[in-house]
Amino acid sequence: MKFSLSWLKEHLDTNLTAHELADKMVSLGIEVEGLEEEGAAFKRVVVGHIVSRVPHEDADKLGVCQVQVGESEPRQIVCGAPNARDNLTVAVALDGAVLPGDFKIKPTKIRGVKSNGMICSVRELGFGEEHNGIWEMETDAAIGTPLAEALGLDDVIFDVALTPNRGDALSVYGIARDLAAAGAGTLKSLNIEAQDQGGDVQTPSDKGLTSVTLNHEGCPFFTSQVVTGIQNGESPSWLKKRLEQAGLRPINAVADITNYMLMSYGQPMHAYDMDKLNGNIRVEAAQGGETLEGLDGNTHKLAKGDIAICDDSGVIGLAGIVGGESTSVDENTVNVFLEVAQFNRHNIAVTGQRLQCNTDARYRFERGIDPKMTLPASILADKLITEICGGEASGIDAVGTEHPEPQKITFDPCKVKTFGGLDMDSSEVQELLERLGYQVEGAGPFEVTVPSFAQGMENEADLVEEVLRLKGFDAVPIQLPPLPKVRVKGADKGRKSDRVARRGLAGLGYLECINYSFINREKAAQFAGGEALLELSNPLDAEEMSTMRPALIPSLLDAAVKNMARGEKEVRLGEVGKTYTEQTETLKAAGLLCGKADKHWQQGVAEFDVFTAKAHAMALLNALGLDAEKMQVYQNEQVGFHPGRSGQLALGKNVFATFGEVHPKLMKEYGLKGKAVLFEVNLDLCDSMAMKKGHLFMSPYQASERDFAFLVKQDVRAGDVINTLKGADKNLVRQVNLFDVYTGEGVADGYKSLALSMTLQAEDRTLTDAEINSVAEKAVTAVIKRFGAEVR
Amino acid sequence: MTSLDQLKENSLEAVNALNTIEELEKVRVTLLGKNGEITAELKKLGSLPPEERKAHGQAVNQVKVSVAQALEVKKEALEEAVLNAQLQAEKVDVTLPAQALPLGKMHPVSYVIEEVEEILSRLGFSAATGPEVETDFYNFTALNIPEDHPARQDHDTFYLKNLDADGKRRLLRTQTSNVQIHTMQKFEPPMRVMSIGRVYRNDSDLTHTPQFHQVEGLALDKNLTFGHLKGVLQTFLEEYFERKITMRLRPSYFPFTEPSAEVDIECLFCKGDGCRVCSHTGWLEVLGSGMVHRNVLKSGGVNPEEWQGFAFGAGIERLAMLKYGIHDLRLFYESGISFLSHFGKPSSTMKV
Ligand SMILES: [Zn+2]
Repeated sequence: MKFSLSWLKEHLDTNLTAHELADKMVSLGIEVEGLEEEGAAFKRVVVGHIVSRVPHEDADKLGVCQVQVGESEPRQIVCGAPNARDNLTVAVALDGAVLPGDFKIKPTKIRGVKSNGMICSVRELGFGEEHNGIWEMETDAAIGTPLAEALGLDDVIFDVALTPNRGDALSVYGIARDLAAAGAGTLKSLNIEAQDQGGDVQTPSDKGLTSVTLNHEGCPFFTSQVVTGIQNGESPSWLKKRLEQAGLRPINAVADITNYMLMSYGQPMHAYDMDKLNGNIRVEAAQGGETLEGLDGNTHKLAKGDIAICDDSGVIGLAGIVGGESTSVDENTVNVFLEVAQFNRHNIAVTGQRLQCNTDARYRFERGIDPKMTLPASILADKLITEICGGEASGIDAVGTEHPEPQKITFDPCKVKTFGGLDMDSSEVQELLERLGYQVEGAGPFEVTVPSFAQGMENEADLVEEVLRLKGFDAVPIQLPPLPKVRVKGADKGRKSDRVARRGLAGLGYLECINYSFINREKAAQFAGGEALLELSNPLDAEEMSTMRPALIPSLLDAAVKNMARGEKEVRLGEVGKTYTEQTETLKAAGLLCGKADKHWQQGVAEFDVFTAKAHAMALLNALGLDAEKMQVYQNEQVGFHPGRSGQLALGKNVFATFGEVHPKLMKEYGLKGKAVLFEVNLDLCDSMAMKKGHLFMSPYQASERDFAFLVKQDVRAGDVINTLKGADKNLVRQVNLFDVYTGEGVADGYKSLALSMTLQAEDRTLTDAEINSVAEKAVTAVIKRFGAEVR
Repeated sequence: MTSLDQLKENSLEAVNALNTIEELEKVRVTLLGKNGEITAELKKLGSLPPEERKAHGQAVNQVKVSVAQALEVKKEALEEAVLNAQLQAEKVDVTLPAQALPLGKMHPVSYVIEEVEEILSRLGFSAATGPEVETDFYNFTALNIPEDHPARQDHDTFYLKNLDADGKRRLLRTQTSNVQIHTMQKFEPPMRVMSIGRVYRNDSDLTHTPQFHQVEGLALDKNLTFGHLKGVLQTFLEEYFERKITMRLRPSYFPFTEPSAEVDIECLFCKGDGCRVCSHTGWLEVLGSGMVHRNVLKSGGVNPEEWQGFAFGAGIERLAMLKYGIHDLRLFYESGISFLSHFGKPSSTMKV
C-alpha cells in the first residue's frame, strides 16, 4: 500500500521526519518496503536568479553569469544557452547535484573560466525534451529554495506491506492511529460536524427513491444515500495526485472519491449511477449460475450463497468484491447512489478466491474492516462528493446492525513477563493497552475490551503481542533457556543415513547435486518398477514437472544431459533425496558416471563399467553399516538398465541397491553418448536393517592359500562359485579371491575358466596340511557337483 | 722385494683396476678363493720350517687382510656407481601432471543443513523428520490456517491428483511446520526439535524456485518466553555466521505463532549502511519466529494451559546465499558441474 507523507499528516499531527516515521512503523509491525522522496532527483538543485551575464572572452557562444542562489555571494557559472540573460529566474544545479542520467555536477573551469554549478534546461532536469535553452522559471519561491519544494515535489511516498492480521492498518487513518498510539504524534479527529449527519434531510427511502433490504447474514449493515444533480468530471488535481501517489489511476470524480475514501479510512464503498438502477436494492444469496459483467472487465459466474447485490434487473454487484458494469458511474452520471456496507470476511474470501478476483475492496473485507467506521465514512464521502461535484445529498439510510457487541478478553498482566519475557508493571501494561484503544477494567486479571478496529484478537497471547509491539520487541531482554532435561529420542529417522550417504558420495568422488522432485512422467515410468506414480494436479510445467520421481536416476540422467550440453566431458554426479510412489516416500542415494575424461599421458582414458557402479554401491552400503559382501546379487529387472550389465544387491526380499549400465535405448532417448553407469541405494531400508558388528577375527596363526582353476559353462555365475567355495567350511575359509576369468585358446566355446584362490586360517591353531587338503577337496567336489565344473 | 710383497702389490693393483662387480668377484676368487693365490701362500705354510711359519704366516695374513679390505672398499665404490647410474636412469619429469583423483563435493544446501543441525543440536534440539506429501490438515489446518485464510493464498500449493486412502486431498508440504504437529502427536513435552527438509511452492522466478529447503525449530516447556526465543535466535545466528550479529525483531504475522516476529540482521555486507544485497535498507531478513499459537498446541494434542514455547524457521538457500556469497538462487537446482565444484565442499573439510 502506497501513500504520501502529506496524506498521513492529514490524520497525524507530528514533527517526526519521514524516516523517523518509517522506523516507527517497522517497529509497530508495519513493514516499510519503500520510502521514495519525490524530489530526490533534484537534490542540490535550487531556484536561482541571473544577476548579470557577460560574454566569455575566449568563446563567442558562452556567457559568464553571476547567479544568486541564496548564498552571501552570487556564483559564477559559465552557460552556453542563447536565452541566458540578466534578471532571469532559473533552476541551478549546485555542486553535489546528480541530474537524470547520473550526471554529477562539480566545480569546473570552462575555457579557463571558473564555473561553479549549472543552469538547467527542461531536458536536463528530466521534465521533457525542451533543450533550446535554459528553463525560464515562473515561480514565487524565494531565491535559494530547493527546486523540489518550489515545484511542490517535496512529498515522500511510503510503500508499506501489511500482514493479514493488520486489517486495522489498511488505511492511512489506521496507520496514523497506530503511530499515534506509539507516541509518534497525535491522531486528528475525523472531520465530521453536526450538520454533516444530515438530521432532517430525507433519506433515499424517505424520498421513495430506493430502499434496501438485507437478506443475507453475510451483510450485517448497509448504508445508502443519494446525491442528485452532480457533475461528474475530472477530479481536482489534489485528489488526482493523492491517488497517483498511491499507484491508482484517476477515473472520474465519483469513482476517485470512493477509492480515496477506501484508502483514507479502509472502508470500501461503491457508487451506482442512480438512473441505471431498476427498482429497489436487495442484498441476497445468489442462486448460483447468475453472471455479472464486472467493472474489472471480467464476466463473473456466481455460485450458490455468494452475496449478491440485486435490483429488479438481477445481479448488479458482487458484494464487497466488484461492482457491475451496467450500473457504473461515468462522466455523464447526474445522480449517484452510494453503498457503504459491511460484508463478512469469510463470505468475501470464499467468493473472491473462487473467482480469482483481486480488488482493493475484497482485500480489506477479507482482512476485516472497522464496523464503527462505516457510518462516518459514508458521511465523509457524501460531503466530498457535494464539495467536488456539487449536487444535493440525501440523508443516510442505515439498515441492519452497525456493530456487534465488542469482544472482551480476560487478561493477566503477568503474562507479559511469563509469556512475553518482559518484566512490566501492570499499570504500564494497562497504559499501553489503553493507548492502543483497548478498555481495561479490573485490577488482578484485567477485563479488556477490544476496540472495533482490531482484528483477530482472541486471547492473552494476542494482547501480549499488542503490548510488546507498542513497547518494541527490542525491549525484551535476551535470555538463553537452560538445556532441556530430556532429549526427544527416535524422532530423527533417516537423518543419519542421509548424512552418511552425502559424505559417502563425496568421498567416492561424486559432486552432489539437488534436482527437482517432480519430473517428466515417461521418464518416471521407466524407473517406477511397476509401482503407481504420484502425480501433481497443478504442476508448474505439465510436460516436464508433472510427476514425483520414483527414483533418483532420471534426475541424474537429465542433469548429465544438461552438463554435456554445456561442454562437460565427464559427469560424476550424485544425489540424496526422497523418491515417491502413490503410497510411499523413500529416501535414496544415487550416483552416475558418464562421458569420458580427457586422455591422460600415462594411463590413457580412465574407464568405468558396471563393476565401478557395483563397487561404489557396495562401498556406500558398507559405510551405512551393512555388509555388502554378504549380500546376494540379483538380476536387475528395471527397464532402464542394460539387461545383461546390471544387478541388485539384496538380502532375501530386501533390495538394498541397484547398479548397472544404462540401457543403450535409454541413452539414445536422453541423447547421451557413450556409456553411463549408475547405482541407487535405498537409505530407508539401510537405516532399518543396519547390521550389528559381528565377531572380530584376529589370528596369530599362519594363513594358507590354495589355488584352483575351474572350467565351467559361460552362464555359470562367478558369484555362485565363490559362495560355494566359501561354504566348504564357514569357519576356516577366510576369503575367496577370483583372480582370473579366461576364455579363448584352450577353452572350448561356451565355456570359461575361473581361477580362484582360497585363504584358510584358524583363530586357535596353525592348520595342518591334512586339514587344508580336506577343506580344499570338499570345496572342489562341491563346485564340480553344483556346476558340472572340470578342474584344470 | 719378496715374492710376498710382489703378490701383495700385484693383487692390490688388480683390485684397483676393477670396473665391475662381476670382475671383482672373479678377482676375489683368484686371490682369496679356495685355490686362490693368497690362499696358496697360506697352504704353503705347512711345508715351511716351524721357526719360519709364524712370521711368514703373519705376513701372508696381513696381505690377505689388506687385499680383502681393498676388495670391500672397491665393492662399495662399484655398488655406489651402479646405484648412481640406476638413479640417473630412473629419473622422471616430476612436473608431468599426475592423474587427478575425482574430488567429490557436497552441495551447499547439504553442508549448510549440516552446519545448522550441528548448531541447533548444541542448543538442545533433536532432529525430527516428516513426510513431504501431506494432507491439508498437517500443512494448514493444524497450523491454524483455516480454509479461507488469506495466508493460504500466499502459499501457491502443489496438489496431488489422487486423494489419500481416507479420501482426503493431498499436497506437497509448503513448509516444514507439518513436522511440528507430527512430533507433538508422537512425543510428550518438554521437547526441542528441529526439522529440515524440502518444501514446495508453485512459483518460479528470479527469486523463487518451486522447491527449496527450510529449517524449523520448536521448543516447548513450562515457562519458555519470547525472551528465550530471542536468546536462541541470537546464538544460532552468531554461531552460523561466525561473527557478532546485530539482530532486530519486527512484529509480524504467522498464523501458527502469536506473538510473531520477523528476524532481521544488520546487513553482513554493508554493516547497515545500505547496499544492493539488503536493497539499501541496511537489514537482511533471515528468519520468521514467534510463540507457538495455542491452537497449534491443541492440534498437536498438547495442553496450552500447561505448556508454552516458541518456533522459528528459515530458508536454507537464503542462509547459504548470505554466508557463502551465492547470488543466484536458481543455480542451486541447475546441477551445473562448475557451480557444484566451486561452491560444493569436500566432506573432509566439514566440521563435526
Ligand atoms: Zn547491505
